[in-house]
Amino acid sequence: MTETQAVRLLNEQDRSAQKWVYERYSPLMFSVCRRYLSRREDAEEALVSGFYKVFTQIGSFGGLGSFEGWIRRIMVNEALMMLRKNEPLSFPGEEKMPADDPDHFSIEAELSARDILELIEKLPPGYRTVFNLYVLEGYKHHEIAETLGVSINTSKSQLILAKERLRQLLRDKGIV
Amino acid sequence: MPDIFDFFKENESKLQEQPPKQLWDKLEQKLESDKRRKRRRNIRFLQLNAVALMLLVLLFAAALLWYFTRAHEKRSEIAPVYKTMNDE
Repeated sequence: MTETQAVRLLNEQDRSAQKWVYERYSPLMFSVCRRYLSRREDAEEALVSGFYKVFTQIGSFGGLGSFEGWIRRIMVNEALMMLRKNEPLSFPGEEKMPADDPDHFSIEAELSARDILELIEKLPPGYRTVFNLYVLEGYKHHEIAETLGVSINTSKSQLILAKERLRQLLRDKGIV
Repeated sequence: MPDIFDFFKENESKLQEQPPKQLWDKLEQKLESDKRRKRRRNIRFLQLNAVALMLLVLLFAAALLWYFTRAHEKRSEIAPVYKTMNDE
């Protein structure tokens, strides 16, 4: 089955096409949800409700952009909704703008997926959310500010602080 | 030298993880119950339409009955007067 065929069949609520799409994209989308939500059960719930929206609101996919990108945006929104439901997002240190030091490090060891996820999970929710949106989803600061309802400066400062924390965590692990 | 963020970007694909198998079953159940709910809603809609149609038919029949009864009554009222006038 091709993606175009699958999208056409999804419009008819075809179960085999839904399964095909789920099997193809769920590993990537689960990792997206996992990066935002530290509790595995929350990530699972976000994944299910995200795919439910994909299948029931397929009519709103215009077919012009990337299908994967469309699914991914739905998953990010689901994860953010879940995050807000659990606890209001706080952004420590949002008032001051820290200096963004250039990186002087090189990774000296191969990191496993578990290690990388653990590093991301160790970030406070505010840092982690901005880091995910900026670094891994490719959002701009003004888009992050709009999505999270914060100022552009808050988005920038959270990102710098996230970088600093990650650098520290890598140092602690003896990786850099 | 790569930026620390580049490291995470490059390694993002490593994070892909197969979700637990039962999640598909959960999703399928949700979709199935949605389908059932929609089917029930459609049946209810059809039932309501059928009842509305029946009421309309009954109303129409009642209106016709009333119209013809009244027409008949009028004819029976005119007929004796006409007969009396002719007799005179």
